[in-house]
Amino acid sequence: MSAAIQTEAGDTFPFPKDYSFPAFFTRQPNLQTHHAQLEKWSALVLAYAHHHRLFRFSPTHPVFHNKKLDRRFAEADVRELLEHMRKDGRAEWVGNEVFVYWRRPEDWARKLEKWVEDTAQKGHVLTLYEITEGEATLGTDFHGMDGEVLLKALNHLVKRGRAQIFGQDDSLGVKFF
Amino acid sequence: MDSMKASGPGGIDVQDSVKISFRGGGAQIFYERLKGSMTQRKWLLQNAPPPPKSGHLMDDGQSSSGQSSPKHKTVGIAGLEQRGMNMRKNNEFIIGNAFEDLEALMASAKDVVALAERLARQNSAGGEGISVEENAILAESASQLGLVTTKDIVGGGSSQSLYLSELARNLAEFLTDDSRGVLKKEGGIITLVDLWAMFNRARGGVELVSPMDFEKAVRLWESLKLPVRLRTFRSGVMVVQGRDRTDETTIKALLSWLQDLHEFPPERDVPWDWRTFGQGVTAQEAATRFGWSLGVAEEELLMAEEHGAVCREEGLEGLKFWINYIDTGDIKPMKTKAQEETDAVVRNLKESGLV
Repeated sequence: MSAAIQTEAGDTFPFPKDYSFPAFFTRQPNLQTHHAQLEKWSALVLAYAHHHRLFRFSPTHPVFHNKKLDRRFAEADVRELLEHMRKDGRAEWVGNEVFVYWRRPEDWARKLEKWVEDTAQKGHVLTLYEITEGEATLGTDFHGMDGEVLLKALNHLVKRGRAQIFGQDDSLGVKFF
Repeated sequence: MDSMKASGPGGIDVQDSVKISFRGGGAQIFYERLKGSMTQRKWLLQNAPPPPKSGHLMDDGQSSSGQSSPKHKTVGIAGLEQRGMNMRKNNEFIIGNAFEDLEALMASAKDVVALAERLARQNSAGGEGISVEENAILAESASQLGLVTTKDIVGGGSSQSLYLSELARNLAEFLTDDSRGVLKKEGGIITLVDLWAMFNRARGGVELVSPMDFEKAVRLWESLKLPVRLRTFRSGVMVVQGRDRTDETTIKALLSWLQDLHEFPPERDVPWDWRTFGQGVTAQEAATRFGWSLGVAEEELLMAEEHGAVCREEGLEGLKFWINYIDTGDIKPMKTKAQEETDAVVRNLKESGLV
């Protein structure tokens, strides 16, 4: 049996079977079981975020509350989960929430590089706004991307000498080599 | 060193001579006194018939059977020998009698036990909070435990270890005896505290066993190779169970019960798919199902959880245990970034034919 949450777009996220298992919402004291529990929750959060293209996740996100089952993964346990994801390189704290890396910044960097190459934009200057909101990226994964995550990805390219970032805080530009 | 002749006052076993040795003087005084006695002929008094003796004990140098016959008193070293022989005779007599006494005790024990039973019945009539079952055990045990080991029987503090090992055997028998079936009634497992209470209650309020002796006795089971064993849960709770009972058999029983709950629909509607997950069970339900005490049920479930066989759910209805559908063994152990990098290096090395 798989539960589903309706989205604005009308598509449904196929929840895994575990999401219907009442004990899935209680922190497991057995170390090995707990590890499996964290791995399953981690996979669920990443899949859910990917499905809905979410870049930030709050510990109080409704996904942690299964209304149909009337079971809730307690906030303290969610924080522990997010910390587990952080150690796994799948999340990063930003204030009271996390960036969820269903794609890690280095993965994004690789994708960007390939897109720049494919669209022959090497040597060109693009604003960050253009990348996330511009018409040019429509239909790509970058469209609607979180600005800060994009910056993290671009910094990867900068480190490797494949890009250069310049400009002010709110009007950053990037040049690809 | 003086040597004297004395003639016995006749009869059997006449002693011709008496050998007396002195150390550090006294010979002269003795000689004077003896001389005096000889003139006074005091032994004539000894020939008077002794007062009639009751009981079985014999005085040294006197034969109870020889009340009418003249008796004699031997003195000196020969006297000591005589005395030793009489002591042995006396002991034999006592021992012989003791067995008769024991039989008499056994006979009267029936009366005592009957009395105990009567008391137990009275107890149950006015007793509050004592279950029928417990009363049955009580009444039954009162008779059967009428003659179990007590400190007095085995001789008190001087033979503490004997007392403990006998107690250990009594306990093992108390637990496993088919007619009583104490362990069976408790689902094969009972907390040490409950057992202690039950055992002492069965003793009818006499010769109670102290908790300390009790635990010491129980700890002897292992070395005495008795069919029961003491087990300590992680929480420190001590329980008693059959030697053949293992964690594996308990887990197996728990799991097959939880598996059954996939077949039988729950009493009320549940928001999860019970055909897939079954139901969660409380310690109370496990206690009822297996005939365990609540404490034992909790501990067994925690044990199964520790083995990864079950997992828990803390909800409004309390703590419940489910078949562990979380860790089904399909999750690989977590790989850290460092491990991934090491793996990559190893892979590269393999590809390049270096490893």
